[in-house]
Amino acid sequence: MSFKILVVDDDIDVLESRKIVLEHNNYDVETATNIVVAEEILNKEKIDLILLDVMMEKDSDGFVFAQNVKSNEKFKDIPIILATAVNQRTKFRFDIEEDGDFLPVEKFMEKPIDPDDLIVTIRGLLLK
Amino acid sequence: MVEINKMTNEDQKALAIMAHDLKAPLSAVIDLLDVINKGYVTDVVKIKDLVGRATQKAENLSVMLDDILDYTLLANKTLLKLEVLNILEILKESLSTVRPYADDRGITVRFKRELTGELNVEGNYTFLLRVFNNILMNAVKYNKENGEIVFDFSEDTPKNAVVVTISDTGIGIPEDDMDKVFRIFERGKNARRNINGSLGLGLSLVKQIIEDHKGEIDVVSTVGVGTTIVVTLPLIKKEGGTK
Repeated sequence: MSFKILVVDDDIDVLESRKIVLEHNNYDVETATNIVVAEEILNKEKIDLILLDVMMEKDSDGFVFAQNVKSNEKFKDIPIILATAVNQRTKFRFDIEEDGDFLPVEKFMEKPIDPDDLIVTIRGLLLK
Repeated sequence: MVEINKMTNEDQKALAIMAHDLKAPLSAVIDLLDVINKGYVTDVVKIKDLVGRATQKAENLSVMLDDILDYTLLANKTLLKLEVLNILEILKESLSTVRPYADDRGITVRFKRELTGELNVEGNYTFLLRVFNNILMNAVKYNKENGEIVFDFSEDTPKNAVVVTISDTGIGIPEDDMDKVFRIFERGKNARRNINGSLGLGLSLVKQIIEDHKGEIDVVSTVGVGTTIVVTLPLIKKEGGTK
């Protein structure tokens, strides 16, 4: 049985490219363009990993969703990769060491995400 | 130009937002091309679809960069070339630019009166065209499918001004977002849902241009009903006449 990954991003082109890469690597993929749909999917499907865009409809949506997942007993063990377009050189950089407490996710990845790197990261998190 | 060490917090925030808003679609372009480049898709039809999406995104980015360049140009007003312009010709030009987009969404453009005659203003052709292109494109983008845009103009004789009114039957602007409409980098909640890539510079640029032409711009909007934009521009006085 293959792992199921939920990809959340408000850009349908990003969803499309992620879906292609993940399906090519034999993952099942669910996509959502907002956190309302993402939460519906989470409640309906057995999700093994979430790839989440940090900036969505409202700038706080990605954070809110991550917090909701991690504070829910049923979902808290699902690993989250937080994808962000915020450049490391700005003061808005995110770091797992510095920001892990208020953003309880397993991994930050900066956009654009190299598809090969994404697969390596996902494999690593799913093996844990 | 502002020296980096003299940048205010506002400047820094604006730059950071701009960098983010440019980087997000640029990253999407790279993502789309990467899946092709790295051999994740081989089907020609699918490749064409992905390249088409990347091209569209790149074109949006180009528009955003134009906004930034225009903003820079507007900051240095001495670079603006002013001339006598018939505002009705600009409106016609703008309508012909935007009409294909309206047609594409089944949106009807209705005129309350024909755009004939001569109403001269002193202005910059490129920037005034940008104003009406921007307002009309918003009226298309935020409209409902098969909606309507109603276009009108009149001469305000006491003020010696031309008043152009553009109304749409779109999603409208929530009341608590109204004060943000003309602010740089702001997008209303409803707008964010519909626009795919925007710096939020559009209407702040529009307002800046109108004010540089000694005009005024007003917005009246009801959520779910539509938005009306009213632009008032001073007319050139005719010799010994009223306009």
